[in-house]
Amino acid sequence: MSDYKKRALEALDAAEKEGGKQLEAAFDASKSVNKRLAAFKSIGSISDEVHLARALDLVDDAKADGRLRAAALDKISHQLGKDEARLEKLTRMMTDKTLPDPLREAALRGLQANSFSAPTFLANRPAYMGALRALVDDDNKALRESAIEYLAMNKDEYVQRRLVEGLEHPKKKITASELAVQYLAYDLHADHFPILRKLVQNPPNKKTRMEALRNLAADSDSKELLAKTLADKKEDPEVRHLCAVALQRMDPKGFDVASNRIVRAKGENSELKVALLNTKLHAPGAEVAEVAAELEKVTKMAKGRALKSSRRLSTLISERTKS
Amino acid sequence: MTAEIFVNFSQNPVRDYVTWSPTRCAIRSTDNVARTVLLTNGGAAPGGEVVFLAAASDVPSDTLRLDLPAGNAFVEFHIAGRFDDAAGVGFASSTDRDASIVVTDEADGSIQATQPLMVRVRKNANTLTDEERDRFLSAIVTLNQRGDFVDFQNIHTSDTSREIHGRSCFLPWHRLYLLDLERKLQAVDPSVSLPYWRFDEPAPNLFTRDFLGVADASGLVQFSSSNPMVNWRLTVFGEGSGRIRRLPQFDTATEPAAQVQNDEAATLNLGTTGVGNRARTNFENFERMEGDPHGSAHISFSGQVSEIGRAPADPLFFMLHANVDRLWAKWQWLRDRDDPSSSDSYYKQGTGPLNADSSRAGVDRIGNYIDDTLWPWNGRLGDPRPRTAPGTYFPPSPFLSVPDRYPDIRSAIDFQGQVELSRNLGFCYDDVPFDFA
Repeated sequence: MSDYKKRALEALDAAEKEGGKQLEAAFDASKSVNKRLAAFKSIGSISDEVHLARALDLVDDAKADGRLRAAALDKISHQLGKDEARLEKLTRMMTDKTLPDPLREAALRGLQANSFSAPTFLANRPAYMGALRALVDDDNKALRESAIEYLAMNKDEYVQRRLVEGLEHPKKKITASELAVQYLAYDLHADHFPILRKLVQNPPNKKTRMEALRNLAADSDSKELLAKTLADKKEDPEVRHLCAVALQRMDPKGFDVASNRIVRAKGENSELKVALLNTKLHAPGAEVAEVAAELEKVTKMAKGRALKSSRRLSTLISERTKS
Repeated sequence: MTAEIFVNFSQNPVRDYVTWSPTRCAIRSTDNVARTVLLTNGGAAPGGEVVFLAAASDVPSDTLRLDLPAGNAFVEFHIAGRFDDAAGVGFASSTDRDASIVVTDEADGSIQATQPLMVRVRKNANTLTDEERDRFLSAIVTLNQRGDFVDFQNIHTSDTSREIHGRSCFLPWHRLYLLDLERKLQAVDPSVSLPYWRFDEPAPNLFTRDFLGVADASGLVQFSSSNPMVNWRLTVFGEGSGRIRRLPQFDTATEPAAQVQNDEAATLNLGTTGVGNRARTNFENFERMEGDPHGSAHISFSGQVSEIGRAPADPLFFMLHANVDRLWAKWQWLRDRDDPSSSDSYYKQGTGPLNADSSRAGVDRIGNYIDDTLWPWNGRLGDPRPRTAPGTYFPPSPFLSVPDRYPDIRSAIDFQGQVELSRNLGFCYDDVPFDFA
């Protein structure tokens, strides 16, 4: 056996022994809460039946510190995923407002983690989705935002309606408008495009406008809007570039014309020029030599961050030419 | 030059890539003169270095003496990327073909040939050079822009989840899934390998605007203007053209992934009983790592990577899974669990039941047993498999014949060819060596 392997195995043995000590400390009621929390943090997941039972007792102990109960739950939630009844219990804990917030959040985390691995999760999924809908109006922001996003990612019609309602009537919003656009984008429908166009014209804030523009790449009726925003020198360069990327998808030829105009123009933002050349370089069928030639001219005029960016792009191009 | 070398015993122009495993090579004289030659390593740190073996079962050495006959008959030998077993440090390449074999005439010391090659190894993403980082980013964005990447997302969705999660094939299936992507990246740029995200350690160089991006307050990931990732397209069906969302629940510069409970040592110790020489473990216990650290790493962020059906939309997904695979590879190496015919290496031997109840979560359906082929590459659709597949078989390597175009679980186990060299899949990790002794 090599020295390297020997040392690695010795380190694992040492870690196992230390883990055992910390495990006992985590459950030692004579220690302070902070010491026990530190002990929980230093150990891995719990799977042996004895400590699993002790952890379950701690989770259920209404007199124990909420953070300790949550820490114990974090260590065992993957084990709970093997049992449908226990998964159901986690789901109920998540919506139980009588429980401390850390414990409710740990229950949500446990369910999220089990969604990746537990064969029983599928059977529990309807109840889980129902519980998430109940969290959309919860006072706990962390639970609320997680629930809204997860529902949106799973194309839940209820949360989509609530998000659209919030964008149309800000007093009814369930989350920040820029987040609402991002969440709707997980399942963008054609009937969302009019709302996005309105948000571009009359945005509650800059970020919302940017997200709306970005997602109009799928709307052929917005081609002119995107082209106009790209061409507008008064616009933020980042906004202009995201319009360029959107335009590249819906109208590659239009993008080429518009981006060439900007790249070759004097007085245009250098970093925007580099970003446009970056997009051209990675577009299907890119003419690498042409991009390289344009980049050389841009590099001569660039300074500061734009210069650094153009040099990086230049290195990328040489690597691409080599391979 | 009076000698020529064929790395990987291949004439394919894209053949000059090796790992820590012994790689079959051939050399022949080109001037019809018999001579005795000395093969030595021409690379130097920070580039790759190689060692030599006459036969694959030999102990490697820094030089190799060979008698080349006149005429053009091949003489076989082997090379491997150099791994210092005492220090626990490998000498992988950092740029394409920065390693080389130097062939010297033993009689007069003259150089007869130099063969550049690359010791190509999967590395910790946090330690990549800027060039390595950018080559990887450029390759994956190119795949994304071409539309090839959408297959990887369509394979890993909520609808297909019960085929590939929560069952014993989780680790081998994802190993092959990663290798499929890596081979396609290498078709764009052969110097690229898949880096891994070491989620139990801080990764300040990974979550930057120049690499995987920095989330703004709303969770949208921002990139520098020269980062190829500014062009990344989310190709999840029905999804808008938004950006990657990835709001971390921890400080990515100074903390490990927030929800991961099992660090590397705890993961490698999963299910182990006894210590030292009495330590015993098997795959059935180790596979619990699917829950933690794997699932926990996913949910350490909000955004696509936290949801099973969307996670591959974020390239972080592949680096997360490369670390999951590396942990399995390391466990295999430490516990000698490379032999697919051993139930300690993989406990479901034989083939799976074809007609098991398809309404079950799928714990025991076909696709779980060592001799089962794997969806989607086997093209088998309909219950008990998912109803869709991109319709492509497993991508071939330019110089390896494994895995088969319809791979089985067996082909994923002995990935370095530790037990049977012909099973070497052509990838390895920077900290998981090949055992020669």
